[in-house]
This record gives sequence, structure tokens and C-alpha cells, in this order.
Amino acid sequence: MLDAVRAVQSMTPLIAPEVMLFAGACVLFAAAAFMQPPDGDRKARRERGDAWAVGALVTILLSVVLWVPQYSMSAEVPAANMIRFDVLAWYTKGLSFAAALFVALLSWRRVAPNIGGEYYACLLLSSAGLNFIAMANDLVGLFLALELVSIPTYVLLYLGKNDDRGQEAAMKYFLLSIFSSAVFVYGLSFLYGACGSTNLEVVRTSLLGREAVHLKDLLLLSMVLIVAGLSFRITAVPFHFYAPDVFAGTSLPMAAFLSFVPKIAGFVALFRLVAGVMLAPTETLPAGSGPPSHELALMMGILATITMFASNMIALVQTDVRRLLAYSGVAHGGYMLLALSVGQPVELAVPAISAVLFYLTAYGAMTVGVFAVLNAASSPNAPIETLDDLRGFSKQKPVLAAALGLFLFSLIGLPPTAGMMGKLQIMLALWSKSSATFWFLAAMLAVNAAIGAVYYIRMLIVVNSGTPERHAPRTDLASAVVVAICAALTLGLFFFPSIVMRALANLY
Amino acid sequence: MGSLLVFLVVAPLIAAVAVLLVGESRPALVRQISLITTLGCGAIVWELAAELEHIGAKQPRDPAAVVKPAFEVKYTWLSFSTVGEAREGGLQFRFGVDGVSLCLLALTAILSIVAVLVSWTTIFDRISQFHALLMVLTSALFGAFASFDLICFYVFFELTLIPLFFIVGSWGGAKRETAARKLLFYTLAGGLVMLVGLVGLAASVHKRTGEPLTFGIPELAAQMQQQMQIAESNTPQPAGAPSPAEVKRFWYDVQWWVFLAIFLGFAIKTPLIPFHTWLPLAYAEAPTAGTLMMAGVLSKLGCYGFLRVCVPLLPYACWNIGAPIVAGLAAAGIVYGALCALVQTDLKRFIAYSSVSHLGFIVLGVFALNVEGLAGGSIQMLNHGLITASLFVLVGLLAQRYESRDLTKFGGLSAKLPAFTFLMFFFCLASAGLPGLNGFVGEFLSLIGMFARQPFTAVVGALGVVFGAWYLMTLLQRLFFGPLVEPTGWSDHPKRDVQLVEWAALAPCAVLCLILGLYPAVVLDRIKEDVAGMAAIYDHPERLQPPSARATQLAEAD
Repeated sequence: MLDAVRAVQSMTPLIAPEVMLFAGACVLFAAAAFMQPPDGDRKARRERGDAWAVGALVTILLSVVLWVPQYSMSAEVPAANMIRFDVLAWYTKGLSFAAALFVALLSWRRVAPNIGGEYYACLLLSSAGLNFIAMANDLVGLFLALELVSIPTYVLLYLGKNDDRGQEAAMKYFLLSIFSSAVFVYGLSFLYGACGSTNLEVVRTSLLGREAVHLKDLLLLSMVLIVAGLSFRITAVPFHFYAPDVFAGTSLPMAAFLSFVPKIAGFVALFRLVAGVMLAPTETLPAGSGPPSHELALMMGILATITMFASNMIALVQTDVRRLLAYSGVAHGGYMLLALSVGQPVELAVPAISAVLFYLTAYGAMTVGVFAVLNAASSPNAPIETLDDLRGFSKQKPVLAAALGLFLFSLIGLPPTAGMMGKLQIMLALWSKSSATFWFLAAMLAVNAAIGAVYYIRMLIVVNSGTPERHAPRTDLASAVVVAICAALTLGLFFFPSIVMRALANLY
Repeated sequence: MGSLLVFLVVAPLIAAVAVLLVGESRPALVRQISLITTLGCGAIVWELAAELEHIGAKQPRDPAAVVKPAFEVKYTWLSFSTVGEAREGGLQFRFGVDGVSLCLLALTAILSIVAVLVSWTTIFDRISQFHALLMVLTSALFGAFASFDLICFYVFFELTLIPLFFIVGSWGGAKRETAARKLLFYTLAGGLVMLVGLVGLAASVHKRTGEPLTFGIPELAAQMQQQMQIAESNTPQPAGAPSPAEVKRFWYDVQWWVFLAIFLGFAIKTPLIPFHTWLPLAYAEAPTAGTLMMAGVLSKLGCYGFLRVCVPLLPYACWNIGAPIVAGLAAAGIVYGALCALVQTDLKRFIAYSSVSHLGFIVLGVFALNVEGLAGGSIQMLNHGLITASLFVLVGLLAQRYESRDLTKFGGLSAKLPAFTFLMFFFCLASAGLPGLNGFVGEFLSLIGMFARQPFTAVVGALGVVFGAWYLMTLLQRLFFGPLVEPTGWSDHPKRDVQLVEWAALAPCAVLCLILGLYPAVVLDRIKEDVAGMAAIYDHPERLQPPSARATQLAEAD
């Protein structure tokens, strides 16, 4: 009993930001039930809507304040705990807060005031869930954390856009997400069966420590199921089918959310469960023992290659902006999966997971940036649906169009942007393996980046040519702030990548 | 001196911001700022050239060094510190100058001045945006030619695409959007594949030698030389180390693949046939300033890349693929471009194909892999830039006055536009390789170099000189002789001859063509040591042969 109390006590500072998020969410839920805005009075309704948003923003900022000093806490936690804390966890929490902040700002005055409280509370909850994924050291904990991201997302999708297409999107996401969770947890059960514990540290030592040779088939089965389940989150082909429909059906802030948050969750979970455990170097082990790392790496490499090619090819023929961005997100997921298949480093200049986290950051900045530009330039009366709606955009809003150009150049991978630096990191990670397979995969990455360039260039041309047919609404300040932050990140990560890479240097 | 180099890259960027801040309301000020900036950059390059000569006189060059830049400045951009290791490698912004890069810096400086002057009378729409893009382009070009780090070079190499895309796409002709799309996509695709090659090269060297991961060209060249010496050594290796035959096999394969990847990027940029399909449209649709920068300077990025990256770093591949195949493509391109030029009726496309044809001589020279060829290639870069850019300016000038570029609609212009006729004759003769003008020097040296290497390729290339004279003389004859023919439908104001601004743009180029033709030593003296350093790698052909099957078998048996 006393031990349990001590364990909780030792964890308290580590989960302080999440406690803060939960507290904020509870307050918002409770308040929302009692403080329905009056009908008819537009000013009061708007003020109430603003109050929900401000509440969420303040909660996020307070959590950030609690999160920053955690950087120095890294090594203090015993590995046997339910949660662990390392640089990966700390960094992922940062991404999670950034995502929540961006989506909260993008939703500013775009959510009906009568559902604002629930909307922002769900946003806080999913952010907390993401933080717990980053800290999970237990199979059950990891699963619960993943669900904590998913369940508020269903509500968010439902609340975000309440028309037929929005309902369809929410239902589609809901059903497929549950299905993927089931597959995932089924895979976890096999892993538990093979290793006899739900603690990740025990799983790891049991895999590397004693002979796991007769368990190879079982492990492989569990890994296939786990990767399949998580592929839904990172939208790897063929688990991507929901993405274009859901993106096109839901609101722009929610599309931005879906393009970023599930990917963070998926990649961190993939690293914790698969790349960090199963792809560990097996040179020191006796021949034939150890986890099936070779087969696993090959499987992930193939999955990534299929993902890149399929999504880029399909994106070539898209005319709907959000569907295009959905496929673009799928493709970038493929690039990151490619880097993750390198697994755990031996003596690399750029460890694969650092490359993935760097790319994830860059990807978040540029993709959320594009959504923020679209959000700033559209309103319910003048939505941006197809590429033609963007025609002549640079004449209407030169500054926003310049920012959009920057994000698109970053997605293409041209300097001076974060996207180029990210691709470079992934290529370095791939080349650091002494295997022709990975060199081939690096070439595939380049080929796919070139295919992807075709549709980004098409978008660039549309934005910069012709005369606008659409009336452009006034740019709203909150979206403009997100655009500015994302643009600064996109440039900053190129010129000063060492800031991020230094933070990630102590990953091992 | 290093700070001057940094200033060279940064000053145009500052000018770009300044020009944007001035805005569209004061076009004169915008133009003045741009002109002053480019003139200032010219002055800096002049100063660098003078200082480089000083250094050369004071300290003799280390003969073992393959690439030896002067005035180096380094700024560590991203360091890869593997945990527990004191030694660090990383990415650097690394600038320097040697004789060859000085040529290209000078070319960029001159042509950026010409571009600003030409825009004076051709660009009237969104002037400040146009000049800002032009300044960014200039900065990127300076950066690329001053880089001595692979990734730094790549960054500037690709950065040129962004301003160029907008210049072509926003200020170009009727088909500008297609042109811009093709231009960006083709060069970008090549560039991305090239990046894989560059990373692969540095990563392979890093893993094989155990040295810190670096992208510095001088270091990589030295390490590659060291490895190739190991591959040739007969002394027994320490236990556990790979045998010389195995070392050779490894590097031969790595260089082969890396060369293939890098070749794609540079071949599209140059362009070599069959990678040139983006070029005619892009050159024809771009505004004059864009075309002259593309044909004059950007095409040199590809040739310079071959010279700077492939020749010192990939000797096996250059010898076994570059010399026979790439030079063969170049020779084919010389003839193909000339034949295409013969049948063009659009003046800009005519010059575009003539430019493709003459670019072949540069690549031919570079892949001759000897002192004559490399020197010829280097000086031909300068020559080709000056001549082609001037020809595009002249054609643009004619097209602007008559609102037509159709060659068949002109004739007998010599009486009406005497100054224009004179300039056109001058540059066409320089382009055709008239002795005494600069075209002759570069083409002659390149062909001599190639003749020592592969006589047949050189003969095919020399055929291009004949074709060149043919189509250029045909052009002159059609334009200037016979009865006066002018396109119908042009507005009726009197056709003014070459204006003061246009003289200011073209006269310096003409003078330089003459100087380089009469006294090429002014350039050759500055590049001879750098060229000799690179050519020295190829002094022992027997060492560069592909690993024999027997040696490989022996290595595998070990």
C-alpha cells in the first residue's frame, strides 16, 4: 500500500500537465451543462463562444508552463512503472500541445456557441491522451491512452460539422477507428502471451534476454496485427480509405487536427511497441534468437513504399483541396514510416526516431499551415472546396498566398524550408544502414517526392494565376496567428535545425 | 575576405526586402536599388579576384590537394553528435572561392547587372515583386557558386528554382504556366534524386573511413583519394581490414550509383539531351531577364556541378561512365541542338537550341578529364554565358519592337537598325567561334582536351562548330540582308535602334568577349592551378579501370 502511494507520489510531477488538461476539460464540461447561451442575443452568444475558447487556451498554456521544466526530469523514473519519462515523451508532449493550440485557434468563432464547451473539452482530453501515449510503459496503458485520443475525436467530428457529409464523416471514422482498435488490442494480446507481461520494459528484456526463437511466429503475428491497427492512425495504405472522405466531410480545423494528431499518436506508439523493441540490434545475440526484426523491417518498408506510391498517384487526379491534402498527408506518413523501418540505431549520425520526430514536427508545421491558410481565407458563406476556388488567390490575399507558397514548397521539399531538412534527415537515416534495400528505399523516397511535387506545383500555379471568381472573406486574426507561427517554424526548422536535434540528441 | 563572400550572398537578399518595402508606387527607386546592389556585387567579385591573385602569388598551392578553396567561411548549421563521441560532423554553410568558382561568380555578377538593365525597358508590371525575385535569384546563384559543401550547394542549387518559377510563371508569355510547371517539375525531380546521391556519397565515406560525417567537398575529395590509394596498395593490410580489391570493388560500385543519381540532377539542369525537353518552352516563354539568367547562368549550374562534385569526388565513375557516355551525350547534343536550331522559326527558340548546342562543349571539356579540357570547359562557361545572354537580350529587343519573334517575317533590317545589326553580328560571330573572339578559345581547348581522350567524340563535337557557323550565318542573312521585310500589324511608331540602357547592358558583354578572345590568360592564369589539381587525379588511367572479375573472385575467396 505504501509502495503504491510512493509510486503515485513520484509520478505526480510527471503527469501534472495532463492533470491540468483533465481539470480544464472537467470545468468546461460542467460549465457547458449549465451555461447555455441565450437564444437570439447574438452578442451574448458570441461572448459565450469566446469564453469557451479562452478557457481552453488558458488551460493549454498553463499545461505548457507545467510541461517546460519537465525536460530536466528525464531519467528519474524507474522503468517498471506504468509510465516512463524520457526525451521522446517530453518532445511528443510539446507536439501535442502545439496541435491542441493550433486547432483551438483555428476553431475560434467557427464553433457554434451552444456546443463550444464540449468541443473544447474534447480537444483538451485528446491532447491529454496523446501525452499519455508518449509516456506509456505498459501495453494496457498504451491502449487506454490511444482510446483517450480516439473517443473525444468522434465527438469532435460530430460537433465540428453537423450536416449530412459531416455526419457521414464522423460515422465512417467512428466505425473504422473501433475496428482498428480491436485489431490493435488483439495484437497486444499475442505480445502479452509471448512475453508474459504487459510492462514494456519487461517485454523488451524478455525479447532480448532469453531465447525467443520458438516464439518468432507468435511475435510476428502480434506485430502484423499491431502494425495494422496503428496503420489506421498513420493512414498507411491500405488503411487510409477513410482519410479523404473524412477530411472532405468535416470542418477545416478538424481536418487539420486529423492530419496531425493521429499521426503523432501512431508514430510514437509504433516506435514504443515496434521500432524501439522489435527492431533492436540483434548482432550481440546468438544467431537465430531475438525478435523477428528483419522480417518486420521489410514489412514496414514495403508498407511504406506502397503507401507513398499509391497516395501520390491518387493525389495526382484530385480536384478537391481537402481530399488532395488528405492524400498528401498519407504520402508524408509513408515517408516517416520509411524512416521508422530503419529501427533502432547502432552507431548512426542520425537515429531513425530523431529523423521521424523532426519530420513529424516539420510536417505538422507545413500541413497545419496549409489548413490555417485555407481556414483564414474561407467562411461558411464562401468555402474553399475545389482547387478552382483558389484561382487568383495571390491577387486577393498576397501575404496569405505567400505563406501558402512557403508551405507548399516545404511539402515539395525545396529549400529553405523544414520539409527539405526533414527529407534530408530521413535520407541520412536510411543511408546509415549498410544494406542495399534501404538505399533503394531512399531512392524510392526521392522518386515519390518528385511525383508529389506535381500536384503541389499544380496548386501553386492555380494560386498564382488567373483572376479570382470567389469573394474572399476578411482574414480572421486567430487563423492568421497560426499561419504566422507555422511559417516561422517552417523557416526556422531549416535554418536552425540544431535546436530540435539537440533536444532529441539524448533520446538514447 | 570571407566576410565579403557572405556579403555577396546576403546583400541581394537585403535588396530584395528593401525593394518589396518600397513597393509598386516608386518604380524608379526599385530599379535604382537593384542596379546599385548588382553593381556592388560586381565590385565585390572584382575585389575577390584581385585578392585571389595575391594569395596565389604569396603561397604556392599544396599539390596534393584536389580542391583548395581560399577565403573560407564556415558556419555550422547542424552538427551530428553521436552520443559519447567527441568528434563531430555535420552540415555547414561553407563558402569559399577558387579560380573556377570565381569565373562563375563573375559571370553571375555581370549578367545580374544586365538583367536589371534589360528589365528597365521590358518589365512594367509589378516591378518591385519582379526585382525582388531577381535579387533572390542572384543571391542563390552566388551562394551556389561559392559553396564548398555538398548540402550547402544543393540548397542554393534548388533555391534558384523558386524565384525562377515565379519569374517565368508570372511575367512570361502566353504559355507561361505550362512553361513554369515543366521547368520546376523537371529540375526538381532531378534535384531530389541528386540529393539521394549526395547523401549516399557522404554517408558511405563516413561509414567506410570512420571519419565524422561531413559534406565538405575538400575533405570528401581527400578521403576519396585516400581510399583509392588503399585500393591500389600492394602492401599487406592490417588484420581485419578489407583487402585492396574489395575496397576497389566497393568504391567502384558506390561511385557508379552515386554518379547515376547526381548525373540525373545535373543533366536535367544543364540540360543534356535527352533531358532537355523542358528547355525550349521555358526559354521561349520567360521574360528577357529570366531567359538570360536561365541560359546565361542557371545552365552553368549543371556544368559547374559536374566539375565541382563529380570530377573530384567520383573519379572511377567519371572515367568509366562520364568520359565515354556523358561526353558522348554532350557531343550528340551539340549536333542535335545545331540541327534543331536550323529549322526554328521562332527567334527565341532558335537561340535556345543554339545555347543547348554550345553547352555541349562545356560538358565535353569537363569530361575530357585533363588540364586542357577542364580549363576549356571552365572558360567556355564564362563565354557561353556572356554570348547566349547577349543574344537573348538582342532577340528580346527585336521582339519588343515588332511584337513578333517569327524569323520568317523579318528581312533586310541592316539599313533600318544599324547598331542592332552590328551587335547581332558581333555576338553571332563570337558564338560561331571566330578566332579573336571568346567562343573560339573555350571550344578549341575543350575539343583539344577531348581529342586526347576520345578522338571520335571530339570529331563529332567539331562537326557542331561547322553546323554552328552554318545556322548562325543563315540567321544573319535572313535578318539583315535582302529587301526590307517587317512584320505586319505592329504599331506604327518609328522603330528606334538600340537605346542607351540597352547599350549599357550589352557593351560590357561585348568588351568582355573581345578581351577574353584576345587575352584568355586573364582567366586561364587564375584557374590553371585548380584545374591541374583536379586533372592530377586522372594521371594514372590504369588505376581507374573497373575492378577485374579475377580480382573480385580473389577478394571473395578471401
